[in-house]
Amino acid sequence: MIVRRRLQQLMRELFDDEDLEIRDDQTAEEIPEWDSLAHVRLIVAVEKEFGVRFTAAEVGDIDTVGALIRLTESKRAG
Amino acid sequence: MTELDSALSSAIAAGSPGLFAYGRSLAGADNRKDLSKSSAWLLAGVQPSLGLPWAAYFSLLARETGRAIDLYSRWLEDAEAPAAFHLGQLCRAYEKHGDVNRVFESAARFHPWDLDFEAREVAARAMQATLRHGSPAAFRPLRIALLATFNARPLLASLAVGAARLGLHAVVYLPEADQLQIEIMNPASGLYGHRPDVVILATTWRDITDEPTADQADAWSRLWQVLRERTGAHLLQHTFDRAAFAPAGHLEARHARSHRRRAQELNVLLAEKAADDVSLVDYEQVVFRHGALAFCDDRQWFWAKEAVRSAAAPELVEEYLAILRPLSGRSYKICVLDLDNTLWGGVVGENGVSGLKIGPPSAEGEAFLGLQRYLLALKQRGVLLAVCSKNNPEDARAPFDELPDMALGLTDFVAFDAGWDAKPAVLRRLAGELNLGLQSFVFVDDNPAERALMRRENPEVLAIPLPDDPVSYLAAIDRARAFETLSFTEEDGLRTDHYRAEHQRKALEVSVSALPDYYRSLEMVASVGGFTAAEQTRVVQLASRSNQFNLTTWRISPGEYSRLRLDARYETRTVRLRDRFGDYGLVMVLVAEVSAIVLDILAYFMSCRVIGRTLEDLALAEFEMMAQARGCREIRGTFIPTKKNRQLVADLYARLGFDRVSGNDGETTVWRRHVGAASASVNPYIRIERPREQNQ
Repeated sequence: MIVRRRLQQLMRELFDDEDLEIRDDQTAEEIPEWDSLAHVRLIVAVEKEFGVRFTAAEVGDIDTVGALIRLTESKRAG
Repeated sequence: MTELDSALSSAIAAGSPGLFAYGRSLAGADNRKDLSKSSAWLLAGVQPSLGLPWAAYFSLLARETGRAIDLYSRWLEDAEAPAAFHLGQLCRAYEKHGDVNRVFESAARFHPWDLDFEAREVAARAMQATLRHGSPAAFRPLRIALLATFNARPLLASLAVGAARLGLHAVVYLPEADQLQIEIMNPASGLYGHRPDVVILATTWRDITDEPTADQADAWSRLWQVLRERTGAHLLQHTFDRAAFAPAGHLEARHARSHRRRAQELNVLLAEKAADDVSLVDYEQVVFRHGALAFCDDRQWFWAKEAVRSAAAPELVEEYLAILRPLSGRSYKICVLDLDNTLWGGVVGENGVSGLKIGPPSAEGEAFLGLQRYLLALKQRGVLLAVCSKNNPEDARAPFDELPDMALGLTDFVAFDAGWDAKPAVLRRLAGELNLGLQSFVFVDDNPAERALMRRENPEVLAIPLPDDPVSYLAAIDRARAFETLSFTEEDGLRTDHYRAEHQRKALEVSVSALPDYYRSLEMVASVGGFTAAEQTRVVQLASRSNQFNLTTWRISPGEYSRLRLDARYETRTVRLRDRFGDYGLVMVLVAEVSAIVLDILAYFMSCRVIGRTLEDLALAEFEMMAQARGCREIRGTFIPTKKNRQLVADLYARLGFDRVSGNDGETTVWRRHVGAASASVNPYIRIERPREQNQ
């Protein structure tokens, strides 16, 4: 729950969209600012905010916001 | 205790990271009510250094932008090294308010040693977004082309923010990665369309090939030549680093053909080939300082070809800024030092000379001695040193006279002020005496209260934040990169002596009542000639440093210098001055363009050391001679006002008998004068020599 909320605010600031509402099934295509360059920035920002680290393969598997949240939560727990 | 109170209390107990996480989580849930309440609580119940900025952030998250700006402004008043995170948020807040200038002013407050790259990204995004409301009026545009053999996107935010600190609005052209050769060779590329003032060639060890290093160095040098011919921009070339891994193992250090050895050879060759318009960015040193293993995040490299990880980007950009600072005329010229607990350990007025710690055996004493040696090295390469100490004059001088371990001596300072006046007033007085603007001053004092007062009263002065432990003072001063210069000249080593001699002249001025007698008593001789190849470095250096007596503030680059020298359309003059006290070296530069019957003055600047010495009249006589020799009937001059030249030269053309043609007070004005009009007679106080021009 916490990860979801903080991620929402993080993405709002990163994509400069104060009214962004994230959903689990949301993909990159649905958010105009989230291109391949922004993807790297998003991952790096998530790593910094939550103190986790993703492998290259894991990052490749993130295709929805929900996947990012679950991966982050599992890294924090682990 | 309510749920809010307990969650907030835990967050406060966890400090900044706790408050950050708490704020984010409330904001993500759109819980503005609790954010507002928490903000008020933080303001009332927590010490201001923590409570004030976080209260501001929470207000910002609660969408109370005006309140956030108020709180952040209060916080900034007293913050010596404001946290980058909050500065980034302040930029966002001003962007929402549509205040373009304040966005840039806040970005300018980022400290070079707070390397939070994420905050820089936030600030840069705000700076970019706010441009739709207009340009930042107080920030001069600098057009930069960043040509990298990798994806250099992580550098952009740090570049935008760092440029603001120099008073510049960086307009950056970043093509697709690894298009460096194509962008340079294709005359119709976006690079040339961008009309850059500066081109950065960002390369890495991956660009070293198997060819002989001499051939590789030639290839880079040829690319510089193409850029030189097509843009006249100043070039920043990376030195080459080495791969972090070592296939040859320990033999990398020794084997002549190893990767490590080839990188070393290539860097030496580049240093030899680099000309005045090519500055080397010591990329190798940046990677070394940061740690090669940490510098490149392998995942960022393989995902996006980013050779510089986000966290390392600010450090690399600091190297670019160290060169951009003198290039844009923003280098500091003088370092004013406190004495007690700054140049030595202890308080001389209380401990006596014998009670001071300088040199062995104490670690502290060694540290102070090391700092003195560093400052001496700065002085020897042209930085001015001065003392401003709250002490009786005899107490302040005594350690210099009596202690054998001091590296600095009284003659190393251009001014020595020991007294009880407030330090900001002392610096203003020194600025007047030495004819330097306050924006040329760096202030080094161990007392945070003195630094805070200096910041409040003389905000243009750079009051360097010092850490608590004196052993780290040297690193703090060095890291500020305040005194960078584009090149060294012989005059640098003599600069302190010139300024000290100036004090003798001032003493003479007081005793000689009538100005004409004073001028005559100086026995001035000026050496006047056109631009030569040998003078290039000095002219470019004076162009970059000259702010007050400068009519158009044109920072002539080496590329432009060559064009002015060789193209017959331009008339150029350099003026060197000496008098019976010493040799000033190059003091004035004149550049004019001949178009049919008009002589158009493009550059006219003078070193502030020689203001009030009737060189203005000499300049007018030179312009008259140029005009007559070239068959011009009219001389035209332009004045472009800046904060720094306004006081001194806004009415210069009027005083020299020109009529205003266009422009109002406070704007760029154009003036004209008919050739042969009265009062351009020979200057009776300065004898002029014209050495024969050799070896253009």
